[in-house]
Amino acid sequence: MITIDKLKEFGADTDEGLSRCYGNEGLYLRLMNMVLTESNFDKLKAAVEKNDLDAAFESVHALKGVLGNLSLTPMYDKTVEITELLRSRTEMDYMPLVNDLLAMRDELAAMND
Amino acid sequence: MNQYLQANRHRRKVLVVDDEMVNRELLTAILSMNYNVDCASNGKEALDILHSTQETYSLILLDLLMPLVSGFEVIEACKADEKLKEIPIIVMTSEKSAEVRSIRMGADDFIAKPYRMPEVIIARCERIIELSEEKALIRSIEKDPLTGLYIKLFFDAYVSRRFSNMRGNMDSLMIRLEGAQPTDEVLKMIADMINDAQMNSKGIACRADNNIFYIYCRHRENYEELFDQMQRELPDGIRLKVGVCVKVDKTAPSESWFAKAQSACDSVADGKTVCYAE
Repeated sequence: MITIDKLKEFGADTDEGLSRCYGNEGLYLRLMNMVLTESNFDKLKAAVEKNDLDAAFESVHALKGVLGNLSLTPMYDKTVEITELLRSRTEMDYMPLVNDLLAMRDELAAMND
Repeated sequence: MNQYLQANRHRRKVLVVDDEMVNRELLTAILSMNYNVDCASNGKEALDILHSTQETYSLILLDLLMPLVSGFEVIEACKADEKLKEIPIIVMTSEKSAEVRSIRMGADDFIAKPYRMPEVIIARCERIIELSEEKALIRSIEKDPLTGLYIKLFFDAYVSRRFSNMRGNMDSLMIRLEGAQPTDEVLKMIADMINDAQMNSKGIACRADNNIFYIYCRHRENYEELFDQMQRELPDGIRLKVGVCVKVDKTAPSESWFAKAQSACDSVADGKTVCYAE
């Protein structure tokens, strides 16, 4: 299961994330599990595959807000990077960046194994 | 008032609108200590809830980028709706440009994403609700319920604070009804005439006493036609007297403009309705 220690090891700023939840660890970890079911990860991947940069921007922007609120710093930083590139509609291959993000999502999910 | 608001805070309802479940859950957890929280997952659902609920929400916390109906469209719809337009809105966004746009559209404040500490969110919500309720309270007492014109206390304050620096020449007027006691219908008729003459929209008007009205409005060359017509429409036995101070001296205190208008009103000649101050 996902724990505070595992999240710290992952690079999450758990102190900040927990304080945003009034120190309620149960709530923080529950929200963390909700992130795993977040549909925008798949939407982002599908949009990038179709080179639909508008849809990709919407998805990554939504993820950025969620990941930032949970202080999942490594994933948040990645979404910031993708968001800014997509904001300026930079012509490039986004898939490596998206794959990095998805790999971190999978790493987070693996904490439940 | 703060203590009163504090004591009644728990009864207030807040609507959180965000398409992200994590954000909704987080905000609900933060806000539910102080408020009753309802949630909507997009703009359309938010508008449906707002339209179907009898009880008024004290605040809407609104995400901007959402499917179906965006946060911008929710702001637009709320501000165009008589029932909803007074509900304060705090937008939640990470986009600087969106903050400016939403505030221009009528949002009251914004909370940046990622959210800051919960105490900051609560403090901002409290402040916006407090301001909104104070504004609503003032609106409920600033006007005379019979005529819809301002009462004298607020008229004086608005003239000196908001309207004294209006560009262009301004006139001050005192209208007094003499003779028979004016009925409610007559008083409403006077207020309607003031509104029809756009003295209230291009200035400000009040009912100062039972039979006295004050107006501060854009300068016009001739008042006789307007007030002679008004006199003709009044019931027999009611005499209209109007004192006018044209092109008021804005460097002088507003009381002096109306003192001059009153003096002119006292000097209206027999058979006339209007007298101009020297």
